[in-house]
Amino acid sequence: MFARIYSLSLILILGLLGSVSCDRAEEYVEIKDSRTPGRFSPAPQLGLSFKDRAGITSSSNSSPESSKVSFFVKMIGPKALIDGEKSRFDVFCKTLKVGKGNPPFEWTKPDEWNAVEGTTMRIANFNFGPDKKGECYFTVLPGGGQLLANLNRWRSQMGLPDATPEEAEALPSRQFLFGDGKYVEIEGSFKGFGASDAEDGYKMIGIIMPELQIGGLK
Amino acid sequence: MNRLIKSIRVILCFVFAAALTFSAAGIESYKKWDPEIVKIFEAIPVQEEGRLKPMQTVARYKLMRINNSKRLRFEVGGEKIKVSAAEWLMDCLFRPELAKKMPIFKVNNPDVIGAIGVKPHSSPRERYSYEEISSAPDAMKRLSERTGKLGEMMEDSDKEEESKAARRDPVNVGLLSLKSAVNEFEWAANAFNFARDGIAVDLGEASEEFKKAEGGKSRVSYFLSEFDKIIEIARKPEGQEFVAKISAAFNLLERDMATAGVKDRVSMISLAMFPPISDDDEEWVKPGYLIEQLSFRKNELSVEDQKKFAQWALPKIVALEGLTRNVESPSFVTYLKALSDGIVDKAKEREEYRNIELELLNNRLGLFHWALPFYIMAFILLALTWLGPGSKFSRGLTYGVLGMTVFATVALIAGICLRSILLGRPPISTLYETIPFITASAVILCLVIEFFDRKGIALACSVMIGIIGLFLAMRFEIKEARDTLKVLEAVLRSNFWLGTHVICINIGYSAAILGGVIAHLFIFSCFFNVGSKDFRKSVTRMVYGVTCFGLLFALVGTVLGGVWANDSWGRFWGWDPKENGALMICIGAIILLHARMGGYIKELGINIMAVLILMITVFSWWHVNQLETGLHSYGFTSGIMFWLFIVYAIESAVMTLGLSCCFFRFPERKGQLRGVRTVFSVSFFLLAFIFTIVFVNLAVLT
Amino acid sequence: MTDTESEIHKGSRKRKSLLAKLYDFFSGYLLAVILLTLLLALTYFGTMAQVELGLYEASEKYFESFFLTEKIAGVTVLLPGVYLVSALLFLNLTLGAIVRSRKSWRRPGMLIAHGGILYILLAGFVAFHYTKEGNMLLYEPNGSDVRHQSDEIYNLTNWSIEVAKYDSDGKREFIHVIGPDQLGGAWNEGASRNFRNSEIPFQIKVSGYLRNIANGKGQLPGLLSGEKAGDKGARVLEGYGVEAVPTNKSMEFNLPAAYVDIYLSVGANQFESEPTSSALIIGSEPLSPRPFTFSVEDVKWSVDLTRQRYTLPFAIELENFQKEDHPGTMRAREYSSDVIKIDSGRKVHISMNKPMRDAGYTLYQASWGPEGARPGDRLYTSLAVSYNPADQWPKYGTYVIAIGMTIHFVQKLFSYLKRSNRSRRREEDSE
Repeated sequence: MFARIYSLSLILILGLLGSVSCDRAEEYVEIKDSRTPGRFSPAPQLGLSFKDRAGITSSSNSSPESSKVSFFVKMIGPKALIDGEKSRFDVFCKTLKVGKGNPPFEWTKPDEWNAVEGTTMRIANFNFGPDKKGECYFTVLPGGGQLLANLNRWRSQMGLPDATPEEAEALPSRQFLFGDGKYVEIEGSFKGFGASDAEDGYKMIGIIMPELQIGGLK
Repeated sequence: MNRLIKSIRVILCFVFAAALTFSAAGIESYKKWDPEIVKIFEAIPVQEEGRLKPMQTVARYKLMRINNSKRLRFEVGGEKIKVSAAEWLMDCLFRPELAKKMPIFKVNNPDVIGAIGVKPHSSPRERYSYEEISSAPDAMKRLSERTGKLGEMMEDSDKEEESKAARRDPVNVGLLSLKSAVNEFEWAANAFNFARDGIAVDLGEASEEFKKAEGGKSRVSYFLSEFDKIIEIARKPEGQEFVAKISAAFNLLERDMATAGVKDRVSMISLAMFPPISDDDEEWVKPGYLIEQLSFRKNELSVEDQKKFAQWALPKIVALEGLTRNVESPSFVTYLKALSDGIVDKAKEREEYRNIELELLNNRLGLFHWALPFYIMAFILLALTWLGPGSKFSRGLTYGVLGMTVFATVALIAGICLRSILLGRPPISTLYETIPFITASAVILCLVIEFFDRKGIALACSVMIGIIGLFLAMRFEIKEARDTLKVLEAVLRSNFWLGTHVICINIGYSAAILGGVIAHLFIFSCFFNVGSKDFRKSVTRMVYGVTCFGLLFALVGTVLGGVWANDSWGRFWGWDPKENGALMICIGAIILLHARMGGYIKELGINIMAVLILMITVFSWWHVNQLETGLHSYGFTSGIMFWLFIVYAIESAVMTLGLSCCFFRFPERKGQLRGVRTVFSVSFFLLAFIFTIVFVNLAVLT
Repeated sequence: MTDTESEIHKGSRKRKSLLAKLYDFFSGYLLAVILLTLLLALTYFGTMAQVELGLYEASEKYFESFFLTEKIAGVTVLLPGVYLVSALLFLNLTLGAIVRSRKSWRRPGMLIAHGGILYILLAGFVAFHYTKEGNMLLYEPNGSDVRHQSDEIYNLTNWSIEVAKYDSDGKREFIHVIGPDQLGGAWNEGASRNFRNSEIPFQIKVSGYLRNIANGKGQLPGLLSGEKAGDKGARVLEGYGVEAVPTNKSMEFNLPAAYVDIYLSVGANQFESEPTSSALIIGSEPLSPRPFTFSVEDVKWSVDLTRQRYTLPFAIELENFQKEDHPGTMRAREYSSDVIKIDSGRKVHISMNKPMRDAGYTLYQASWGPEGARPGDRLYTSLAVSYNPADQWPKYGTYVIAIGMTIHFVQKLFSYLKRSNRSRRREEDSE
């Protein structure tokens, strides 16, 4: 007796389960859920147009803060060495272009330069000269900042005072990648990243390509 | 009957495999290494894949990847020479010119070798030497280009379809494996070039300060010790000419560094043979690293540290130079011993050496390989007992069979335990390790049944399973050809779960397989009408008991796996293919039990279902890893789909045979459900028959 | 099911025998065998489907559904889904193994074992419906931002639309959530759903919801410029439109999109007939939210298509992240995180196989990133967080099953041995 009541009720329950999942055509749906905002989540940027909202969606591991990127190519080393390598630097810059692969760039390695394994920062990376004192690399920096900021970053690496915006604008242009970049040539004492002492008689040549908006549109 | 044929074929294959290959001699003469020297060499510890192991292990797996065997055989002027892996590695490292002439590359498909422009041998079993390939014009270049293109295609996710098709082309497959074998060989042969050859720069030219080098080449050790002075000279304006030479020298040095191995590079390249300078550091050091730190990356250290490092590192380079330049002289053994002692003593100090001796012992014993002949002998004796069943003669022989089987099983278990001890963790953590374990547990289960049953049925099964299991282990080892003693992924490093879940589930697998194997006896007895009704009854009882036992372990093991997953990453059941496979085995066994309890199947049904469970177990054990999806995908093996389909086809055929017994063995069916039963029997029979054809087709297509 | 219920109400004469027949059927071995065979087949088909569909979609189709269609040997067959089969199995087990079986203290084994299985099935049901799970990404602290602290988790596979109200300072006051269950199901051509809530002064019409517009490489082939969208018949807003892209095998790479229209409220359950604002929204990343915003009577509101998020009742801060590689390789040997519970100051060390448990939530060390990080780069730790009321049930269920089955089989073994001993002795006697 008990068994039969039990079984009947179980059948009814299953029937209910089935009906619950059925799609009932409703005029509207009541929003039932809610949550309190987290205390540490980044504040949303308000009032953006669709273009700004869309941006780049990279793979789930990286979190780009902005969809702007900057491109730099930089060559640095003892003055004499760098002066000697100017032509090769030009050749390299000319052959650098967007291509297949990941990251999407292609270039031709100049003769006598040694290709060094790229890092997350340096896509193309070379050294040359005795003692490998000469370096040249190509970098793509996401959210890379403005021309002036980068120029002054380089200048401080060379122990030079900051340049003014007018000086930055006055820099010569050079065709680079798919647009125009600013050509920089400075001499000073180089104190590289993580070095304890500065090295005298150094020269830095580079091209800064300012921010570009990148989107994934057809 | 089929089992007998199967086993004879196994033995024949074994004998055949022993008489593997002899090939054309490119070598005029071969002087074998002094066994004492080989012993010292074998015991030198090397760190590879995160684990410290003896040179012998490294050599064996290297040779296996190239040659598919741990030994090398070739002919020299009509004389057959057999060389062990360690001896071969010594040839590569110290006598590379000779090693290049030795026939080691196995290329079965003449199209492959023809594709790069080398003349194929008359018999595909004749192996190729490095010299043969490199001397053919452009052969190496062609090999690199083609495999390079294939590699690029495989990396590009856009070209997935193309790359899948390309990978199925047997010529491409052959080229890829040849290229990887050639790479392996090259690094072994070039590893000590820097020590042997030196750098082609006569430093004496630059300034009188430098001593004249030997034969126009400077030793690397000298070059490195005078490095600062050399740079000074190069910096001066007068040193301009010198600079060019130095640049060339630097390039050579870099290349040697690469072949001699550098720290921080993910590589199978070269031997991490030196304990690090700091006792806190875990990573052992390769010779290339020493070169790099003494030259290009010198400035990363303070002057004090530079001096200390040079003091520590230079003697090692000098030792290698001494070793490689005195191969033919009697002082070789002195150099080797000095080098080896230095390394071994330091390893002992760091308390890393204990396992080396144990591993050497494990290698020497080769317990798994010993167990197999004993199982085979047991089988031969067993076959003899069938000649005169019931007689005193056969009863005596049966004791022999038992003895051999027990001995072989003990060897098997000892081998498994030794591996566990070597790595300090429970016995199963890779796909390879499941094979000896499942074999051992199935055999033990059989012996236990035999102890209770004493009819000889289980004993016969145990021998069969032992042979097949160990043979499978041997073949799989070659296919894998990587060191089977691996270090674990982070997620697996939990001894408790490895000890419980994994062992449980594997015992479940072995019982499920055993049940299916025993069920074969019933089906053959039924179909060919051999054996008594009692015999069949015993067999059915055994199958039923084994299935129950298997269900317990498989079910508990599966759920324990879920509990482990839940504790580790919060998901009890993820519908991962391997989990699904284990679930399917449990469900299969539960269906068997409940169908029997409901009276829907009787003796024949039980046995046929047991064979189905066997198929499901094979699917779960091997097939799911081939699907290349899911969490358990660290057990990949390529190319076994063909054998899987063969197994499925055979088992479907067996099931078909069994179902056919429905019709002509048991015509006297009683009961009102006769009509329904016939419908079911006929439909299942047709189904099994169709599946047999399907699997044969699939096997042929692969 | 409805048929039998009406049958029951039909005639009182037939009630008893029909009910008895139903009871017999639902508690019998035949149903058990049928259901188990279905389960076996479904598991097989579901596993093979994973190769093509990926784990998530194959699970949706086979393991979480009531019904599905499957092509077997060219013929399309309607099959019940694992959810339905499990529900029926639960019924069958209860009736057959517990209610109807021979209960005796001498043979409790199978009763216990079946009870354990029921417990696990129940745990599966509760877990399926009541689990909250997601991921928490915490960067190593570097003093310049607060990316090392968090109290939110976001689900990697589900998406929801969050409607947030802002206060005068521009901070979010309250968030209404249109969850994945309300966004799920099939969106037919031209279908739309209206969402309302008494606290929201407008109605949100969501139309053209697409599950995915991204490919696996971070590009958006489904996002079209105005012209192309117009050509394909998609609605164009602010110069862009969207079209569907096949979903990726790995769910994390899917990015949904939808069109929203806002209709202001003009009275109790009355809304304007024309929308005041409309927008195309695409899925946004939790670490850089950029929602669609608009004002209603000087109050700012935003509508955000985001990964489903939960706010935890506590907040976590990453103090330190450690990672160890196997020497000489790039494979991680071990990694773990030292975290502090911000409000209470409690320090916990989370590592593989050793999660943190608090307030019903469990936090596991799942992985780390960014991929390809060089020494010196700022790393982040990825914690998998889940709230599952039935978390420990399967463990207890396992113990119960193991005990029950062992008892049963040991008893069976002994009785078998006794019988075979007896028969052997009889044989020996008769010789």
